Amino acid sequence: MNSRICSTKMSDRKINEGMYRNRGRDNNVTGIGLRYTRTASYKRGTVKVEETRGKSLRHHSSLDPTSDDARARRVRKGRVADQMVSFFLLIGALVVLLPLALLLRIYTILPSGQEKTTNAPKRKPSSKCSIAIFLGSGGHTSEMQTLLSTLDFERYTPRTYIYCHGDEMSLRAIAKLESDKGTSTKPETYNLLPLPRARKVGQSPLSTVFSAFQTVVVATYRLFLLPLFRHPSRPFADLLVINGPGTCVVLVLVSWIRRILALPHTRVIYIESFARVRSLSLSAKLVRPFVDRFIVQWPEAGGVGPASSKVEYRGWLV
Amino acid sequence: MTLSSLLVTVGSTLFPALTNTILSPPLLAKLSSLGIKQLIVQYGRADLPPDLGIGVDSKGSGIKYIDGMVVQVMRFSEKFEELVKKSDAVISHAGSGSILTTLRRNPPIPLLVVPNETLMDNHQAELADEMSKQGYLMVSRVEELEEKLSTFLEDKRTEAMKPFPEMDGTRFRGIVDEMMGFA
Repeated sequence: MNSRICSTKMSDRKINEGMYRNRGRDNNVTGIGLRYTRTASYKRGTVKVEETRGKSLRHHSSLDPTSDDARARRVRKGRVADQMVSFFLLIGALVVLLPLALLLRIYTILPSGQEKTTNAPKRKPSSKCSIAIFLGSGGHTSEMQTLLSTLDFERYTPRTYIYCHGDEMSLRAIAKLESDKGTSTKPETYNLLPLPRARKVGQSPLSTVFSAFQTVVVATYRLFLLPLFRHPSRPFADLLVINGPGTCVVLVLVSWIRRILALPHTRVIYIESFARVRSLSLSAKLVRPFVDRFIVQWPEAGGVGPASSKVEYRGWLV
Repeated sequence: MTLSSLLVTVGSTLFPALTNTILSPPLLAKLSSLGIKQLIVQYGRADLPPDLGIGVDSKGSGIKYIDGMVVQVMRFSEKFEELVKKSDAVISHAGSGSILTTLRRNPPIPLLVVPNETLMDNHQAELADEMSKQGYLMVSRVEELEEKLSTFLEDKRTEAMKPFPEMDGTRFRGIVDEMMGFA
């Protein structure tokens, strides 16, 4: 910097000369330095390499040098194989153990139906309880509408209505329920949550897998992830009321994520249709082990056997 | 009191066996002879019999005077409860919604349930049979419809039916309150 400021006062020639000289000197110094270090390190490197080679040759000179190479390769190969085995063992153990641990966890927390009321924390009569309701269209929706009409909406608030895209009937049922209860002036006490339908009537098993997966993804996002980010300590609702059909199985599945993680979770009640007299519907059979309460409306609907011990009959509810 | 207004309903289902039988000339003649003055047929996803001769609008509704009866047809109805209220008797598929709505009508009216036997999982027939066993309604197969109509539409039918209990709203509320620790 300084030299440049000075050189501006000199004539052009001088500046050029000075710069040339400076550059030349610098080049020389660095050049020599570089050459020196490079040669030194190169030489040192060569010596080392020669030494090690010489050593190894001398050491194994009595043996066939090619077999030595093969052995080294074999040893190396063996080591890789060992690593791969342990890697696959680890993966295998994870693949087996993780689901086993998960199954064990699920098994130990399965609601037995025996602790119906005992494990329910007592609430003050004035306290609120958030509720989610699945409206499954058609007969499911009309029965659910009747069931819900008996609840105290001041107590069960806020309400989340879950329904399938394009289900106008369920939307009408929600509007009727809320207006009959006189809550339509307070829209903040309830909200709507449409989901893609898991299975349409008559849909083939293969395409059901895809559409159900889509429902699982959306439901997981809306009912598990979003609520987790908003209020990690609170599930999306304290209570989930379901009465079929298929899509409600997905809701139970998603509600179980928090249960498995031992976080405060949603309690689930399933009410089998009044139309089921002597047999259960498919969704009922699927969700039965996983819900906290399982209610039928005909005494023989639950069948017999160990699984039926959970089934409760309390007369007609609709 | 004669039963003069009859409603036939299949809800949102496809049940041409029932709707076509009701709208067939012999059955229409029979209904007329039993004193029916107004017949409403809500035929759902089925097609009307082509020889019926009732012109329908874009929504599938139409009306015609046949055998001294006003015969009204409609595909679906959003006001099913009102239809039931206007009727003196109902013939229905075995859907629980239609059954409950009809049985809960005040004052009560006779209900004849015709289960759809072409359904694969026919749990609906179980409901109809059980309710009939308990005396709340009458059950008929499609083939027996013609003979059963006379019994169904006889004057004393209403008294013969056992009144269906009102809904007990405390039951479900009780279960939920208990479950959530309020009781």
